[in-house]
Amino acid sequence: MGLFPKAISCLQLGSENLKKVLRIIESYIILDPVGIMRRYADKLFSGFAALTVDLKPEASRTVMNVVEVAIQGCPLDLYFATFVDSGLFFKILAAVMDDDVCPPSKSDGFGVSDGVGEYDCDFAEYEYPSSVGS
Amino acid sequence: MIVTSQNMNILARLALENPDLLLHFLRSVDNSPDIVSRFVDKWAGQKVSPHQSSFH
Repeated sequence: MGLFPKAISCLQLGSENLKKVLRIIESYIILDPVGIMRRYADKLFSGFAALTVDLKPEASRTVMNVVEVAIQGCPLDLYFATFVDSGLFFKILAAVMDDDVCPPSKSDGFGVSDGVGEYDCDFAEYEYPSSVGS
Repeated sequence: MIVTSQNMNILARLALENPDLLLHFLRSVDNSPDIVSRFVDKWAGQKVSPHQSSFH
């Protein structure tokens, strides 16, 4: 378990190493999703948020697959506040709602969007369920 | 960011667990009245594109 933070810090490595690092991170999450997310959700989502700026489609798909695995294995209240704070949630939401999003093609199964903007959102307006962010 | 089926699955998980929360953040991104219907359209468009639909 002590190696997991080192894997997160390796997320900025080049493409070939990135694949390996993502596999390692995914494997840790599969083994202990709640334990990993409880301890490392902030670093994990921040690392992914920084990573998604300039990724090729296949790499982006792989990153999002790891995110999906991570959140599927945990209750919402364990990760959601961190997910929002990292900026990753808004990147995903904004990309989906972007008018330039292309439908998935026959060949690759997913579309491409660029120019995801920054949004000035007031998180404080929403009253979280009591367990979120605690 | 590239939009993939994983992106949609992540939002789907939130929609199932806490639709009010998703709605709140959707409105944070875009406060237009048709935001929900546009979101559903986007979602449907990702699931069945014109290329993949047997109805075209």
